Amino acid sequence: MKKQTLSFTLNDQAESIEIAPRTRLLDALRVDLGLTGAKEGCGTGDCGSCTVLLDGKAVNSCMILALQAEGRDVTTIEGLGKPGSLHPIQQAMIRSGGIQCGFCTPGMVLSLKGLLDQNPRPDEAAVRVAISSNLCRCTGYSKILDAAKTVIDGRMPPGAADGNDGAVGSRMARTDALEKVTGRAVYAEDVQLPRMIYGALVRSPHAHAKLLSIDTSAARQLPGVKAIVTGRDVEMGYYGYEVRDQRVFALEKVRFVGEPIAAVAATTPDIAREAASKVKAEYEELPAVFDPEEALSMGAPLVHDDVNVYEFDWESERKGNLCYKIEIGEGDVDKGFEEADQVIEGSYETPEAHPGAIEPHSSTAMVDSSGRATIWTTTQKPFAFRSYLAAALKRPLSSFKIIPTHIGGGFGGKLFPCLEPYAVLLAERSGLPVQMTLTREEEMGATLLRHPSKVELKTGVKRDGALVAQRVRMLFNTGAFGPYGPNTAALASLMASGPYRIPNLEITGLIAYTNNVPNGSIRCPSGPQMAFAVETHLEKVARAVGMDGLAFRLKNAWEDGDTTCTGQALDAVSVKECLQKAADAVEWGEPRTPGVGKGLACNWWVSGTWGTQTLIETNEDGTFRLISGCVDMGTGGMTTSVLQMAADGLGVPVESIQLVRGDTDTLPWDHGHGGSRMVFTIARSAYEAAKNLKQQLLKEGADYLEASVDDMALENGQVFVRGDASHSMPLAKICYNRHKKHGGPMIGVSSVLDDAPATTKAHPIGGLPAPSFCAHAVELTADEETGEIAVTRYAAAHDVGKVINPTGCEGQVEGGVAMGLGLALMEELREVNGKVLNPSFADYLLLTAEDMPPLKTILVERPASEGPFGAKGVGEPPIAPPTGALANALAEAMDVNVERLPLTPEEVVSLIGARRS
Amino acid sequence: MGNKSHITATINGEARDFLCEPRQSLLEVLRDVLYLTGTKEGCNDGNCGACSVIVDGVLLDACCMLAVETEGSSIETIEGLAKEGELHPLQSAFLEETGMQCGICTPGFLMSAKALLDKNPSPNEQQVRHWLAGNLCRCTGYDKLVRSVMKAADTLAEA
Ligand code: FES
Ligand code: FES
Ligand code: FES
Ligand code: FES
Repeated sequence: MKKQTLSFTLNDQAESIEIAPRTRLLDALRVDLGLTGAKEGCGTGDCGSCTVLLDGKAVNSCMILALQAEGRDVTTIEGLGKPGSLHPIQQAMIRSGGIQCGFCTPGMVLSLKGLLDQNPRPDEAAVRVAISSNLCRCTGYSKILDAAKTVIDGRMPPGAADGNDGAVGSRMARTDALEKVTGRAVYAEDVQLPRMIYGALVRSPHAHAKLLSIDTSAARQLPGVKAIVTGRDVEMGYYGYEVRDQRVFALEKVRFVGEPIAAVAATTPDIAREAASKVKAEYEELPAVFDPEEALSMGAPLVHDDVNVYEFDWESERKGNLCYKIEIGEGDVDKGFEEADQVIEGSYETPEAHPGAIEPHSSTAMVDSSGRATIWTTTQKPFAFRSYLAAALKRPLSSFKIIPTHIGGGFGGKLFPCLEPYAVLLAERSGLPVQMTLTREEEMGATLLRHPSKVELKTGVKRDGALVAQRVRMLFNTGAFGPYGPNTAALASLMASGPYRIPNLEITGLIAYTNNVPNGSIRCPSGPQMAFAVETHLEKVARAVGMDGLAFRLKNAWEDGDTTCTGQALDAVSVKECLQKAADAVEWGEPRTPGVGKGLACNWWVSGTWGTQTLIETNEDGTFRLISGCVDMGTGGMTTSVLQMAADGLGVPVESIQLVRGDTDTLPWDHGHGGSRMVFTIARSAYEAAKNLKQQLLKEGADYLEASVDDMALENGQVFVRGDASHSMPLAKICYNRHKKHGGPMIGVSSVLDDAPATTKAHPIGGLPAPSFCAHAVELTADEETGEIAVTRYAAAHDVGKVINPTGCEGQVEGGVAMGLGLALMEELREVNGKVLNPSFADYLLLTAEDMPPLKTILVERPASEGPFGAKGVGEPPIAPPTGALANALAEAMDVNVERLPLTPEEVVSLIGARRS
Repeated sequence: MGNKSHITATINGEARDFLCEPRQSLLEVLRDVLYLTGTKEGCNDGNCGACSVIVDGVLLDACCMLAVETEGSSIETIEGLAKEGELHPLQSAFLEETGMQCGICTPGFLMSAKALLDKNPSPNEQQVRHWLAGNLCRCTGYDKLVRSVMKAADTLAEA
């Protein structure tokens, strides 16, 4: 294609490049000029991550041709402020905690700059409007709004990082904030390698069909095509999490719309996609099944011919389309129902939902002459990815080196391989580095989603409000493959009683295969679904016995010594405290105004664990390197709390500890980031490693000073004999001597794998160490005519055991509430006959800055008995209660019966209609 | 900066075209434009042989040739020595005889040796040493290098 010259001013410098006329401004910046600060979250003008300033105005650079910038002024994040001389907006974003994964940050900062340059003193509403087209999935916008306020008022808001002292409990700013706010942080699609080519997938258009043949000849003839691979050219193994039922390409038959059947690599992404469209496959359509109840009934089309041929780690009945079944109980429910004064039944459904990270999946692979693959990718579990790939491609673990890049939002969507195997196969065949990135449409239409649920509840209650029995049947549709289905059902079974004392329980969880897009383990898997079902239902139970929702919950909520359905005895239980605090924050006790509804919901959740190892090594100058194989999916625990606890364990300032970034060749093994484990597991491990190293340093000091190690202390960079400051030795000198003179460098090690607390009943997950508790309260009104809900007050109380970093904890709660409100109000992937109808941010709505209601975050500290500080997990639970709390508040405001999410205006109007008839 | 010239050449058997400035050496273009970084730069003045490539059958220092001079010619670099995943007998011999230590000189030695064997399939030791005299190696003391080349010549003769 003939190129044209584009001359314009870029970040105050004259720039002139030759480009193809149809190049988008975003590509000219990212690919031709190498400025990767502007991100591509959607490519369709819906997310704002590609925002730049064009003649001072914020624009989406994905929607503009580069040639339209001819003669004009373009400002990108790279032109805004350099480390050392940041723009005030950048400083405020760092200090307010407005940055989590950072993927939206460059666009967000530029939108704010565009606004403030035109209007230096906008009110909050104007700020919300200005950033309403910049989607953020992490922060809930609260701290971004704080940052804007800082700049507008010229002062630090409450909640700003307080001088960065880094002590446990302080508002330390994250150590990766600077690279993120200046657009320097490298995310997966920012990786650029010499001679890199681009891959694309060929996907099945059918939900269920025999794959008769694949013809790649036309695609091969396209100039620029470098490699094509299908399932017939590869030795494939089965891979998965608990159940290994999946292969990288469909072979005999396809099982869902979007299942990969071939992959193509070419010199440009456009040629790769064109070649993919020229791969012709012949299919013979088979009857398909989409409804999970139907899938489990006799005579349903079988998604897998025999589910028992797959390896499965747990025990379960498996047959037909039944992927997994879990049953657990306590007492005798039928007897319980007989003893009850009232028995209430209900059935609740939630739809398929997308994790919604703004960063799409992207992977780049390179294969060396020995056949070893290096993969740069956006992953929450780099080490697990090696083993998934090893199983999928039948190779040794050591043939893969994973280099985790920054993650532009994980939320469980990056727990399982997506593009990695294809990038490896194409790199191998072409002999060139291959990058693959999902389009937003593929991202929404064919990646792992949140399991849709149907939960039936039958509950017996005494006249005084005491719960006596509950039968729960939970059915989750896992789609064509069940990598995380069993885990979702097992977690759901633990949540089926809520955090309540119910003496007689009967819980059944079912996972059904269907010909839908497969589902995964998305942030708080099963949590929002179960909080919706259980909390909405129990509100009806409370009403049936004429009790107030708060009083009813306080009567039945767990206390120390109560047991879960697995028979785990609980301690540090704080449900009641959370309930009371959240309720108080919305003035629960005040008389209700007609048309205004208040709702409550609470739940409990896991605090991580799984194995990890942390190393802390001395440097020769008395500083340290902290080495962990856990990645940070964006929440920021690794770049704050982990360092804070390590510094505390060592007794040194946090600045003297450098966090090492590495890869699966060089870092110690870790399970991955998920399950709310960053603080409970990783930071605790860092603390242990720090203690271990400190002991060695004290011993070294004792040897020099000829004192007993028990008398030694480490403070202010000195190792000294306690009570005798004249006998001291600088830490730096101890380290120098060890490195250069005698003994060798010192390393503190901690290897952690917690034992699960004892249970009396067998359960595949078992006891949960340090469970966390929370409660949310909401006040809302709804418009009788339009069905629109307006949230007027929201309070979230979370027991985090111990606050290690308040900014980080609040950030998790704020972002989690935003996600939970999205699930309650607007998020639904509509799949019809296996095809996703709304695969874009225009049609699948995420909460924007304008939608985010005022939120009060309450951090409760009831220390867990495990661990040095008693911290509990906080990453996942905040997204669960909004579903139930919203439903309960709407039921009260409009006197309607809520049984389904999301509560879109259409849904609310139809609920009101149902009430009237 | 002058206008760029458009050059068409065959590189390792594949037709390629590239843009280069008239002042750019073949070495610069191979490494910086075409990303064929197997060819190394040791001195950039024709004294070390690390940049040895074969152009139309002639062994050359790529640092001493202008890229524009290669219009229409056929260039062989280290990247083209192994064919379809099969090592060239010279490469196998270098592996078996440990004909390298740090390896920076290795691509140049391999291309020099290939040019020799293309011309003279059964050289004696002195001929090998004479031919390789344009390639410097600071690590090996040359003995194992020479042995590798002799061994490769034997293998090729047997084939
Ligand atoms: S990438 Fe441009 S708006 Fe999303
Ligand atoms: S910080 Fe905004 S999307 Fe992650
Ligand atoms: S780099 Fe060409 S001879 Fe040294
Ligand atoms: S092996 Fe090092 S210079 Fe030759």
